Amino acid sequence: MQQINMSATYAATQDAVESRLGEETVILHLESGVYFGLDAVGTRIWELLQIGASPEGICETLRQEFTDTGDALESDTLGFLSQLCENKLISEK
Amino acid sequence: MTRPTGYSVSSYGDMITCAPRMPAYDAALRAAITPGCTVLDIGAGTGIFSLIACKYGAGHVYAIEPNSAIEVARQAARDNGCADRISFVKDLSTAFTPEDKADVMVSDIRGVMPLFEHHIDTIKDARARLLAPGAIQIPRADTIRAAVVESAEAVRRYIEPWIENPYDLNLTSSHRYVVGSWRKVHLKPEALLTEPEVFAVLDYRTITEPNQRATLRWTAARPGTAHGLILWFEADLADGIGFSNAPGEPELIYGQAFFPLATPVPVTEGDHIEADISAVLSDGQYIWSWKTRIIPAGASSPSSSFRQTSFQANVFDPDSLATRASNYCPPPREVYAIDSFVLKRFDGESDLAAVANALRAAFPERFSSDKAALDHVATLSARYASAKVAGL
Repeated sequence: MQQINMSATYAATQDAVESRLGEETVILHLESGVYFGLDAVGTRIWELLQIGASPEGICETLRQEFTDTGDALESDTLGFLSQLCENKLISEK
Repeated sequence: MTRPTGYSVSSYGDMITCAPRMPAYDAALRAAITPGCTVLDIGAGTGIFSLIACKYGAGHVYAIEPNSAIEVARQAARDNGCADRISFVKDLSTAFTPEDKADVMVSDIRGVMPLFEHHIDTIKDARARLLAPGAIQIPRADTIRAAVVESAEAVRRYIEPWIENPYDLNLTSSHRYVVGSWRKVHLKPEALLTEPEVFAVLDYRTITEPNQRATLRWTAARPGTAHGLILWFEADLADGIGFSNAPGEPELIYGQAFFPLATPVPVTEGDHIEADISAVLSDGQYIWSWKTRIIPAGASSPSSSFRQTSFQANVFDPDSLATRASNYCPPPREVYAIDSFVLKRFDGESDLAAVANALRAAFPERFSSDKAALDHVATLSARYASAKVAGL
């Protein structure tokens, strides 16, 4: 699992292009041709990444916006960001 | 490789009457053809370049065209007395190997822009396999330029009816899809807010990479509203022979490609505009991305930035997407059994009527008439007969 820096900022790579579908998002990685689906929370994280939010800031925003986040919010978010990195959809700025 | 884009015979007619495109191709062929030479015409359509090559003395022409328009070309060759010098190949050039290599290759398999479907890969393949050493290529190169434009007319389609409509309806949710699509325009030089910059030079004598990316920087030459970017190309066919669809040049079939900004931005003279533009071939189609930043004169950071891509213009059906996932297990359906039944009987001996009779007997509840069974069998036959054209 790729290590995520809580205070860094991450941005979509050149190869990641997305299309929204209601509250969900479909991302295509242009080089590999692989499609990825994001649910509503994943879509919100993707949006926050685009405006330059750090992982720390993303967790804070999610705590405010989603009331039933539970104790695993931070580890889930970092795991999700790590997956995005591993699939070359985002990279550290 | 995907099925080639279809054209009607009348659309080929529009290409033939398109000036100065067609006179330029005519002049380039006249300069390139030597008596008895072999010519390769890729994307021959209704055969105009092949006929011109014969007129100028070509000894043998390979006219390659996957579209059924090639049947029209055959008749035109007979009508012009050169049918004995043209070999017609209804296929993709990438699936074709000629008896002799060509001294001259002519093609125009661009769309609105030269970065179109498998254009680059086709040229690359032809250069490697189908041309004699030192062969002449027409065109030699295309240079794609880009500029920032002000055009209320071009952007109107992105605003109406999504942002403004006379029915007092909120249709803004569709706007994000609309601003992900580029469209063909014919703008005048007055629309330009900046000087053009080169996005890409496609030298067909050497090109290997179909994907193109560049970061372009412009400075606004006058105040106005930045509505989007336009891209156009200048074609180099031969020494001193070419054409361009730049603003101010005669209107060609190609037009210019207009990429809207998600929101129009007022600019003043001296403001800087930057854009990361990429065109990446994915599953046979180019996905264009344009990431634009407006930086006011004297400022170091953008006042506006937009991240747009033609991929965002797609409206995905989640159920349909799910059926493409690698872990999707298609459930059994009768249609699979029907098609499997038919395909097993395409054995080179049974004709379609015989297969249709057997199909109706095996699935009487699905096919209530001989005609219905024959239609289904014929559709499958045509689909797989064209599979070679589709590159399968």
